[in-house]
Amino acid sequence: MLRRTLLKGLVMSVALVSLMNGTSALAQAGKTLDVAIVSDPVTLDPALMASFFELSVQYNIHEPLLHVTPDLKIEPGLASVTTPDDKTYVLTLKPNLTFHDGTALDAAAVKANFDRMLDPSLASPRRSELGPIDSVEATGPLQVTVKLKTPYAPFLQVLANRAGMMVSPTAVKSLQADFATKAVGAGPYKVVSWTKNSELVLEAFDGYWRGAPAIKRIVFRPIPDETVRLTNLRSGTVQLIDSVPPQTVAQVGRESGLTLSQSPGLGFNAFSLNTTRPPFNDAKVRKAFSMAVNPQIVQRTVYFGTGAVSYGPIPPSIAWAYDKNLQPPRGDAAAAKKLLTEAGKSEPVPVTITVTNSPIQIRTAEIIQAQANQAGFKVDIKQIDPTSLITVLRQKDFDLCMSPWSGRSDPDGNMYNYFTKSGPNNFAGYQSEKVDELLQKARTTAGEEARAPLYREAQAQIAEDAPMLFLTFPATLQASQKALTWLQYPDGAFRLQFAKFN
Amino acid sequence: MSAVVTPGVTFARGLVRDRRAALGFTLVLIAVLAAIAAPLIAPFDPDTPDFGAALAPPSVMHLLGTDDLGRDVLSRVIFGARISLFVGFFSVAGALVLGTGLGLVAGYFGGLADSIIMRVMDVVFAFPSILLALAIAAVLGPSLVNAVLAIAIVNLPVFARIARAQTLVVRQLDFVEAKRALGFGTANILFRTVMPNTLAPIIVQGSLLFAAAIITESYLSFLGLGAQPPTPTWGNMLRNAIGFLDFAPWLAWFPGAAIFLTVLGFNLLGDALRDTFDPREG
Repeated sequence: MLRRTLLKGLVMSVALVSLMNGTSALAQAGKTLDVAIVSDPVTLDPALMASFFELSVQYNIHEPLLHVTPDLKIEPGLASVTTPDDKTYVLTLKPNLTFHDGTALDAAAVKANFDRMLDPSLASPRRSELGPIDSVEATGPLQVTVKLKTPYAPFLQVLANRAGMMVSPTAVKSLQADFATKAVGAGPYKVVSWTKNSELVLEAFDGYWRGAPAIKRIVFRPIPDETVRLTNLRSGTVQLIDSVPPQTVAQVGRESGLTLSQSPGLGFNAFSLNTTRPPFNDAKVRKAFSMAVNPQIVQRTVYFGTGAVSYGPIPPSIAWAYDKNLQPPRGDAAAAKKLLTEAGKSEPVPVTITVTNSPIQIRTAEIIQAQANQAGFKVDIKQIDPTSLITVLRQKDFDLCMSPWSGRSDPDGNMYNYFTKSGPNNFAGYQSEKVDELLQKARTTAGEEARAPLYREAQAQIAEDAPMLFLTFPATLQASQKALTWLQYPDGAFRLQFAKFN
Repeated sequence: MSAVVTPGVTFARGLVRDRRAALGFTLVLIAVLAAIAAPLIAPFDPDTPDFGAALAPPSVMHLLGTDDLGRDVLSRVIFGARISLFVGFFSVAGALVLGTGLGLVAGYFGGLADSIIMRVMDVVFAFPSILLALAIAAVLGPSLVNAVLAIAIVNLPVFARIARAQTLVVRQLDFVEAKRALGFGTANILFRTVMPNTLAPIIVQGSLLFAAAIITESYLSFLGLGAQPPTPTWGNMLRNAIGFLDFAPWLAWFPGAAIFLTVLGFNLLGDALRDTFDPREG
């Protein structure tokens, strides 16, 4: 009896610790590359992608018209581009391109893609990204001319992202709804099979414009638990992993069989403050809350010094637009308390923080909680599962809710959607004429020198109104086995046409 | 044989004679004392972070080290006992009261009432208990009270079945028949006569399920469905620890040991209680 009891207790408590031990498979030999990603993509159709989770796979299946280098320069991709004036873009496709299914990738196909993305009935998020398009015409067998209504500075960066990814018009027609799972594009790899939440198998596309990729077969496996991903990399079950937990960075860097790749990211980890209901409908209360929190503590304690402290939406990696002088007061409980008193709040102000149940987010929430409580707030933490996050944000069913952003190579992509009045990511319900005008102007102005001051001014106003609490620009942290050579991009998206086994 | 041997006396003797029972009793006592006296004996506030002292290994200052936010692990383990015992006590007490009541009614009246109650219990029983508790907690939303509810619901059929089985035996005994013949009311017979005679196995079961409830609470907290941060529970401390196992293993050792020892204590105590009540053994 004793033995059984002992055993039961032991097994149960050990089981708790080792819940994380998941998949086990033999290390793959030969030419297959196994990649552990954080979550399964939602769709493989670039016109409909709307989440963070497609990022890891999208550039392997699809090829954008233009290419962004790791240092954010625009290069020709499927097409090269000329701009006769600031409202006209002429795209010239490379000759003899085809999609995975053999359909010709010519001017007609590109026009069909634009028409599809701009069709209101498809409700593609690309439609707003493409901005003020007036017309798209095939002006030659390989030439497409896009005319804009007003100048739109981020346009080239947009064409190097999801909106520039061309898909086979014949496959869209024949596959209909199945296109989302079978996706026929022009990227370096073709989709072989996709088993939801298990594996996405890709095979090299010989007709890829840069030439067939070195690695012939790639399998993406979603592994949500950060510790399990790392364990699988160490055991060789996978050879490349996304999102290395920051606390293990130092250690992984020392392991002889592994390579840690780190670069400054494009996105931010921030919280939206709901400006449409108390207590955060009062700008003073929002400001007091932001003042109470010290993002340096978050960066040190949660991110273990990786990445950079954030005070606004534009990261240092977009060097021309980053404002290093933007430093609103932070981590000052006394000043925050004083501001709360000015706002007429005497008793502790109750606030609920909504986060997903990932360790990093909970840790961040606990730090915010401890600091805000010292400044006269009474903070509760509410955990939700990741799939309900977008609903909570869209319905504004929160006081303070995490709203991280993967980032874009143009500052417009980090600000327009979040801070214009009708922006789809304006979860805070922020309404500012001034910021609206500035952001509108910044996207229609040409030249980085002319745009930078506009973004600086908008960021300063946003820091003053505090609709969002910015904490960190997380670094892109990925790791691979030594045997693999690959190229990391700041956005964290894998482009495995550039990878090879040594 | 002495003239008066109550179960209490037997149990007390058992404790002295049986080292396992004594160990169980001691472990439970430690957990209970820690829970009651937590604010007095914990060296630090369990929720106040000290970011400068994060992830410090066990030392004189912090006997069990500190966690990733610099909170004292010893203090958190001590306060965690409150949550574990709170959940254990209220979930088992709730299931025991309601389950026994349902079992009594089903067993005493039989017929349609019996069929309806016990089929519903069968449905609950058909699911693996941890899975069902998870599902209930997920639907109700993550909180301590909901965790208690979930665990109580899962344990209902256990008590209902035992109470019913006991009632079926007891209701036919002569002294119950006698009371009925004398014209006592149903409620009186049920609660004054039948129920006391069904309680022994139920209490034994209760002490064993107490241990299971602590484990289940740990599972729920581990998965984020129990008490919400910064409230320390052994389960959510373990969950937090897995990201640091490589270089701060003490974060997992101590809450894990606390779960293990407390559960062991309740199991040993339950075994001892069973030995006391069960005439066939010992």
